[in-house]
Amino acid sequence: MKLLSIAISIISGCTPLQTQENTLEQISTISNLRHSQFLANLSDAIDQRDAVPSQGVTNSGTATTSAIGSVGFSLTQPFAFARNTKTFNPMASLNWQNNWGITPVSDLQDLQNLRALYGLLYRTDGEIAQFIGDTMENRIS
Amino acid sequence: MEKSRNLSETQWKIESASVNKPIDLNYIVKSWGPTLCGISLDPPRIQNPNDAMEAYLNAMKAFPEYSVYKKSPNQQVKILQSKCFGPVSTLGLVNDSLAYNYGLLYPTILDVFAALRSGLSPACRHYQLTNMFVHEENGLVRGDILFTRWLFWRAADGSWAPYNPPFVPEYLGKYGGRDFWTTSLACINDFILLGINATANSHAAAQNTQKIGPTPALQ
Repeated sequence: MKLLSIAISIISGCTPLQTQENTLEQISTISNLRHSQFLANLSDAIDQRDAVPSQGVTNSGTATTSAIGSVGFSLTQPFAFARNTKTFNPMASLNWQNNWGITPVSDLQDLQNLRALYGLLYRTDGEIAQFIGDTMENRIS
Repeated sequence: MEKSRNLSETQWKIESASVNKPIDLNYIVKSWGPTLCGISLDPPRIQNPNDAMEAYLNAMKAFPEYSVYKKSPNQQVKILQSKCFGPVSTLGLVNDSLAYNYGLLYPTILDVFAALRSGLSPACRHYQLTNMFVHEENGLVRGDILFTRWLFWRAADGSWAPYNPPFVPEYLGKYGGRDFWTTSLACINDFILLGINATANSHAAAQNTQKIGPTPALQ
C-alpha cells in the first residue's frame, strides 16, 4: 500500500506540470488551425470560384490532466508460501485532453469580406480588372 | 462619339442607351475610369492600384464604410457612395455601426490595400518593396499590380499560378488536396491577421461582447 501511495504521489506531482505543458501545446495549435483554415479555404476557392469560406473562430479552450491510481492483489493460494501465486499490481495513469470551442463565421458581411480577400489571392490582376469592368457594365446598361 | 465626350456622364449614358449603340466601355474607362476605377479594359489591366482595390472591394460589397458617402435628399440617411460605381448597398453592418455596437472595426478599404501592398509586418513590407519596384534606382513602383503575390500553386498544366514566383518558393504542404508554396511567410501571417479583422463581427459574437453604445475609446 505504501508503494501505491508513493506512485500516486509522484504522478499527482506531475499533474500540474503536465497541465502546463498541455496548455502550451494546445495554444501552439492555434497557429496551425489558422494556417490550415486559410489554405484549405483558398484551395476550395481555386476549385470553385467565389466559394463561401468555411471558417470558424476559436472562442475558448480547455486543457485537462487527470491522474488515476489503482492497486490489485491476487492471492489465489495465500498460505502456499513456497509458490509464486501472490501478485501485487499497482497501476497508475496520467491522461490529458485538449478541447477547442469553435464558433462558425456565419455573419453575411464577414463572409463576403473573406470571399473578397481570397479572391485577391487566386485572381490575377487582369481578372480583377475584368471583374471591375464587368461590374461597371452591369450598372450602366 | 465626339459629341458624347462633351456630355456629362449621365447624359452620355442616356444618349448611348437611346440610340441603342453598344456602350464603349473603353471610352468610359479613359474618360473617368483611371481616377475612379483604376483600370483600363483593352486589355483589362490595373492602372491605379489604390482606386482599383477600392472598386474591387466595392463591387464585392466588402468592407463597407462611410468614408465616401453622401446624404440622402432629405438629409437624413447616409447613402454609401462608391467612387467607381456610384451609390452602393451593403450586406451587413457598416463600419461605424460595428464600432458602436461592439467596439470593433473592420479594416477600411485603405487598410486592406495598405496591408496587402505594403505589408503589415517588416518582413512582408520588405518583400513587397523588394519586388514592387520597376527600377529601384529611380524609385518607380509598379502601378499595374495590386500587390506582389506571395502564395503559389500549380495549375492544371503544371505551370505556376496565379503568376510565376519571383524566386524559388518554399513548400507549405497540401491543403484541401492542393500543394501550396510561398515566397513570404510573413505575408501569409499578415493576411491571416487581415482575415481575422475582416471577420470582426463574428469575433464579437464569439467573444460575446456585444455592447450598447460607443466604446470608451471612441467617446
